[in-house]
Amino acid sequence: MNLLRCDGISRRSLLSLGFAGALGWSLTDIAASARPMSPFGIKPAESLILIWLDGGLSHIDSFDPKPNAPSEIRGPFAGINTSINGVQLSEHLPLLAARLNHCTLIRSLTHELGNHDTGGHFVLTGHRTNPSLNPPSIGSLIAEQNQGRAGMPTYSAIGRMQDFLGAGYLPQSTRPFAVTPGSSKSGTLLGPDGLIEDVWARRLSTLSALTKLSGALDGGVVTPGDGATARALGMLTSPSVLSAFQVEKEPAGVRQRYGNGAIGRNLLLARRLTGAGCRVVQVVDTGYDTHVDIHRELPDARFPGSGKLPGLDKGISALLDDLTESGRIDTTVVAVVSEFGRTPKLNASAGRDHWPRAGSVLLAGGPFARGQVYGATDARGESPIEAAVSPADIAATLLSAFGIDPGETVRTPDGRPVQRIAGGNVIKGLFG
Amino acid sequence: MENKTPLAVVLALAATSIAAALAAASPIGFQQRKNVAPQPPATSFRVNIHPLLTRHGCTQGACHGSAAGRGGLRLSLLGGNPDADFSTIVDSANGRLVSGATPDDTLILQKATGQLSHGGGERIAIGSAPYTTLKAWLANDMPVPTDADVIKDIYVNADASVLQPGAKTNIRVRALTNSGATVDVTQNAIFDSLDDGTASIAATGRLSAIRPGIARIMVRFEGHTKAIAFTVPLNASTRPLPPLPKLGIIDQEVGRTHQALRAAPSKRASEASLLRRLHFDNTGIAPTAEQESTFAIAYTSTTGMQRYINELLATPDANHRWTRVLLDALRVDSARLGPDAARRYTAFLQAAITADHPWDKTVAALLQARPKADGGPDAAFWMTYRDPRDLAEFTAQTLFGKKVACARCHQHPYDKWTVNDNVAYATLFAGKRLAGNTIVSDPLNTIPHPETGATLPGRLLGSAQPSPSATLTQDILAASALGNRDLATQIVNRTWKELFGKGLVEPIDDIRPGNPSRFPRLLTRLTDAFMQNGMRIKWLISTILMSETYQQQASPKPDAFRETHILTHARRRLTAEMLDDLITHTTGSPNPAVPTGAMRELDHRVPNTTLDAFDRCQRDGRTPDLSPDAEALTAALHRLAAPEIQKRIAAGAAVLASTNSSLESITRQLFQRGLTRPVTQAEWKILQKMQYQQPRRQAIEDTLWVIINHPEFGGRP
Repeated sequence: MNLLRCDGISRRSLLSLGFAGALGWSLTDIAASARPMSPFGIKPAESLILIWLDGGLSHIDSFDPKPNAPSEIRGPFAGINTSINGVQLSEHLPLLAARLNHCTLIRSLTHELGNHDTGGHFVLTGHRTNPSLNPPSIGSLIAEQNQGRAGMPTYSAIGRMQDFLGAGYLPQSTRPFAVTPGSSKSGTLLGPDGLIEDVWARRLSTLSALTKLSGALDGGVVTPGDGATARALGMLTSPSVLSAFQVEKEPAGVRQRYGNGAIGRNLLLARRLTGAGCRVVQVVDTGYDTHVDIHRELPDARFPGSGKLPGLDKGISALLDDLTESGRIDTTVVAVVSEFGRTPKLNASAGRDHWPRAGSVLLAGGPFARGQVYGATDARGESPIEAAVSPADIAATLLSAFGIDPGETVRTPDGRPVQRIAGGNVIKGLFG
Repeated sequence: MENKTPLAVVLALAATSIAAALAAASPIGFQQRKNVAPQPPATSFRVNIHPLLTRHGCTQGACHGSAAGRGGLRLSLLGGNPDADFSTIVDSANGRLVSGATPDDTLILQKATGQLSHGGGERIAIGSAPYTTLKAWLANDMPVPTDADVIKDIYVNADASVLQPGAKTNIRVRALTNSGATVDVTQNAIFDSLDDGTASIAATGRLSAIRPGIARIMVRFEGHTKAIAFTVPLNASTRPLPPLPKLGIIDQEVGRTHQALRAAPSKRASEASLLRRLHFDNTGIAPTAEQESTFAIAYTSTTGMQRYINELLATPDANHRWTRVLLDALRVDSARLGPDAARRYTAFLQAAITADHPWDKTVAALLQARPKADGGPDAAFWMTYRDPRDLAEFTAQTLFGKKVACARCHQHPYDKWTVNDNVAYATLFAGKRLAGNTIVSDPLNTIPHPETGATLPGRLLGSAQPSPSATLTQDILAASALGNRDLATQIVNRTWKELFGKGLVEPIDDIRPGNPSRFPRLLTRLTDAFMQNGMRIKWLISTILMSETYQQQASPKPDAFRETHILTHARRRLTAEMLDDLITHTTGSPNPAVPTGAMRELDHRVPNTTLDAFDRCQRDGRTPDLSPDAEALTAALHRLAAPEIQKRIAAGAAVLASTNSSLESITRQLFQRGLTRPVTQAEWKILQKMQYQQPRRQAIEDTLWVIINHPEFGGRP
């Protein structure tokens, strides 16, 4: 018996079974459609890695330090110089500080929604919550206009799914494909270790033969989810698709570079998925709702190198390095967003509370400028003092980076005309 | 004032003949009326001018209807506020926009015709009918609108209601004003085809039939929305008229539609299909072997079917299933309510379903929220949303089918609810807050009007009078539910959707004149009968299940025409819980997260990867799409390859392998369990080939895998 792991199955042997054809599945890669130039004269990006820092990233403790502010604002961390002259980041982001000249940092995000769900909804959809409109996430808007390549899902979400990450009024096919974090073996995609080629072949040829018969039976027979089953089989029988989900295929050195925590592993997975043909990968990292003990949550002073910021620093830096080295950085946008910033003044528990008036967004790759800081907050980090941007502006700008017109009016299934992003301006100054 | 007199005379004349005009059902009668009653001069802002602006797109959101206006002119969105628009037009641009002295030179005509640079381009042509109308209004010095020409209602009719494909007809629209005049307003009415594959409609109201079906055309004029339906029959010359069923509201009304369409209904579903359908629709669980043999006899007679259905609906599993329908609709969420309140709420609904308690009384108890010592719902319903506006909009839509959420900001152009209606209704849910499981008064919790900031007296939807302020609003709301027809219509429509896959109105909780049913008589008569029978949901279910319409077979292939017109059931997938339980039923190996079964676990928050992958209802107002073409990639991958499923297959196979039964009898049994039908000879041969020379346990594993991934496995026939 030819004992191969499922990922070792050859495409040829399954094709020869005629199964894919029987279910209408074509293994032909969907060629990237010719894209128009974006109205802003930029070359549209092809994939997006959106990193969602769930809970609300403290801007003062990360991307917008205030080293000269009084200690109750400055907080426990110092600032360090970066590769952009005169710009500092938190001392816990040294690797990103060295790579800031590859990024566009926005320090003037502002809105008024201080709850996780309303603020998160605004940032991830570009729309405020509205009882009569269920808007799609930015990822779904991009997925609607693009197709995953080579059998890959168009839009994948790694980590906890937010309710408003979905397709909204768009077709359900633009919904993110949920990838269970952690070991890919225990995830949704892969079978147990024991799946072997001849078992698959036997089962698939039988299923194929039975499927052909099922339509001929008594009325009332349905063939639900045909398309999905065929697509799923296409994924399961494609070595390149399966391999994309297997982070453990990376050399130990690479995995170490990304960091051992969930964020590092998930960013490495995101790099593999976009490389294999995913258009949008959203990575959710939780734990930024730091109401208590910033100095223990963000970095953990007791265990050097642990905590949220060091993990983030390592993971994003490794991702940027890899994308730069492979040249994919020019077609891949990396966006680091969060629902809001946090109160400039430390609270009684040495934490910070929700502060939607100011927050930071980090962008890199694609058409975005290399080495730019856009907007600024006041000396206390309370409000933007220049170039204030709203979540709708960010959403509109991200869409335009993919050649999608954010202001175009589309119709919801119930006929309501809505702009993809209403009231958002494309921030042309962010493009390089 | 001079030009007022002849208008008033004409209005008075028209008023005397209005009854005759309304009675004139035939279009010819309408033509005659038009000839004898001279049209009022085209100088009424409300009747002629304002609708003309809306019709030509001036008030669209992208144009002058935008919140900031365009080019310095801001009109109400989609013409929602004629009075404000009159003032705006007459007062703006220091009188340059409109002027009676030199109409041709006014901005309104210069811009609209594109003679002066206009962002919206040329909207009307010089010398055209709208141009002449606008000019006449300007020349008349733009008379101030009076109450007399407020539009009270509109009437819509057509030359023909049954059209062969390719045929055309004209829709005409008349407006009735406060003074009693009727005016032909067809040229400024707005037409939309709700079934544009069946018939298309030109802006002039000319309808073209395209292909067989029922075409509903929505007609709008000055905030009034009506719909008119047309039948495009199947090839009439070759088809005999199907016989009209004699018994039962459902079969009579569906039969009437079939007759009009000249379409033959589907045949009765096979025993196996109907059994599977009955069990999944009413319990969510596959039938047992014993039920299969009982049904074989029941299937052959009406009394047998009635007895089988009655017994099925009395089972605890049926009570679970129909309670779950209510839990999903009412968004009963243990995470939001807290586990204790969710448990009591669930138990209350389950008791109501088990006892077939009148639905209006159940809803009244939920709204009344009296503290109950005996484990009643208390204020659980009120915990669904803490914000009174959210709760009010949820109540109106989910329970009464009235979508008032849009009117939180502005009146929906196709619906009648105003911002005042929204605020006044939400006020009934305000003025209080929750203290534990009870409601206490909180006068500070008020609903300010979004524009004026003022509070309004509480008022029920559709009621002209404020509700008595001395009565507890919980009691007012509870009393309004009793015998409420909208409540009845809504649950009838919801139940229909559960059993046919599509509501008689879609979306099921948005019932209004502009969104009519294709089967309005069926919905009306079924609602009548439901109310006469005490609003008992199980009576309704049983009535539907016993109809020929329900018992007809589904098409083996997708067939939009047949599914839309209830010639066949809409094809659909099983819900997440049903699919999981069917895997348990087939493998004999339960999902460890829900050891008693997913359908019997009424809390949807039990953490479980399989139920998530199968897209269980999240009780957040969005229902999972069960149509076969909805992308269910995650579910398909999970069934094909997830370790959770493979483990259950392996565990089941291990048990079966250790029995004395032959591989053939095990295979036949597994096939019957998973697909609720016997394996055919051809299928048995294919399975035999797969099992050939495999170890017994491996053969059973393979067989289980194939059955679980069989296209019929996840379907409801």
